[in-house]
Amino acid sequence: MPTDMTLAAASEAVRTRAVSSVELVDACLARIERVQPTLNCFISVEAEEALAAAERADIEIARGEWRSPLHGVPLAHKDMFYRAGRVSTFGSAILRDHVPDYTSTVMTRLADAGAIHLGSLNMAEFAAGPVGQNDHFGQVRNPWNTGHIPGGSSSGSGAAVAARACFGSLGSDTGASCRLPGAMCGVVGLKPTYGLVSRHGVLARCWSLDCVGPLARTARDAAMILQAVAGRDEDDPTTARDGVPDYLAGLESGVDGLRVGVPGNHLYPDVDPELRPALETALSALRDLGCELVDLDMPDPDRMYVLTEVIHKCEAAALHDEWIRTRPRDYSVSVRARLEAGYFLPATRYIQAQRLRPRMLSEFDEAVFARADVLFTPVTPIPVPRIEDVAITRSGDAPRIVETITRCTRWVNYLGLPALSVPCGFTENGLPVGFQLVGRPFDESLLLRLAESYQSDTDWHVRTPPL
Amino acid sequence: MKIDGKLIREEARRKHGIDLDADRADELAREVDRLNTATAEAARSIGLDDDPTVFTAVLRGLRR
Repeated sequence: MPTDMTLAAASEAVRTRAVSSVELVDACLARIERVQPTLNCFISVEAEEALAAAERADIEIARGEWRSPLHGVPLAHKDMFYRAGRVSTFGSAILRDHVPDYTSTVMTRLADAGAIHLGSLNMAEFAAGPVGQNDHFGQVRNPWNTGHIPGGSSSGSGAAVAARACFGSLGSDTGASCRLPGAMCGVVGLKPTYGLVSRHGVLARCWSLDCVGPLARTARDAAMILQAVAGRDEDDPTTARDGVPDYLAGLESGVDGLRVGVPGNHLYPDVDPELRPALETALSALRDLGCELVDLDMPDPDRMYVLTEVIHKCEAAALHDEWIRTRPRDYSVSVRARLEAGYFLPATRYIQAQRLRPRMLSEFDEAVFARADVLFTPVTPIPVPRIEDVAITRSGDAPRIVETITRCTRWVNYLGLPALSVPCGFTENGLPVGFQLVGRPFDESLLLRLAESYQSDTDWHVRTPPL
Repeated sequence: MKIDGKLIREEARRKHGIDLDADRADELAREVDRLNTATAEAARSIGLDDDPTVFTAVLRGLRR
């Protein structure tokens, strides 16, 4: 099956004309037709446009006009990246018919790279939820067991990539939203450093914390997508001016002597016993690859979590203010419950949470990166929950459920650091487990290199869900 | 000062034009009180020179 190829393999096959882009799109469309009724991972499929774009890509490549490793490769993205004249719903009822008049930088860059746009993927309403729940477009289901959640908020991205319905996807991550669906669906999810990837034309969830990042089957695949979208954008002044490294160049240069920090005081000790064997086996594999495992104490993530919540809720309340007052019934209970507290936190608390950010980043750097090159943690402290166990139907449930699921990830957005989730096994009931690597600012290359080495030595990423 | 549902409900109506029922106001009071208290405690370590606008510069300065 062409869809069983990784993005990297598909790219090479298209470049060498062993397979055509049209054949890849046809295969993906057939796969979508098969899995969509079960997984509900797409909001819209653009079959005719994708086939037309693939035909153009094949002609260009035949002429020797190969643009990039993404040329002719079918991707699909979370439904929140503007394309001029196309509906971008943000998974919401309020923006169900929203047609932007300009195109986001990331979509422009992917189009320029020659990537094929298969369609838009389901997501948590307004990117506000870690469980894949969407009361307007329906629940996305986990490809490994459809009774379980796929993780969110890039729920459709995780499910579609794992189900082999596309070769990769762009999602967004404000507290877990690339990493969590990556871990829960058994694929790689990257939250880049704040400011590495443009947010221009991406409807905000929380300006201070939002990052756009890829989900893909392998670290190499994620690197290929990141390469296409990363870098300075004059339309997003928060993007860094420094040049973008070649993420693919160093992927195979090994990890011998790399120091992997394992926090002895937080996160890892609290992990559910069911996840522990997979995580410990992954650590052993990293040691066997030549990494040095370093026990260390990290700053209290729960303290940073609270400050993240304050920023998140205040910015979300400000963003949604008019709609909350004028169209409250167009929000699901779970989303309204997530942002309402932002109305009642004093501005002084919001500013205090922001004032503590540079200091906490420096303290974290000193505590962790003086002793280790990367930090290793679980992505979640619990196994992948069943849908009915974490469905938010009452407003009072939201903080507890969200905190339980995002405890290992949300604080990373407060610090702005890059983090990568990597599949590393399964629990006894067949649901994926992932580990998280947190790196220094703009050190995505190292995270991807470590994950690539790990995936070269393991086969979790090649296993296919039983659909 | 303890934040209670009555205060939240009043503020929602008078400052934001939002009607909340009593149960939801009580839930929000607990949540806001928790976040407010924790942030105030964390803020005790803030010094006069802690400037929030330098965050991205610090991020870039710490790159390898």
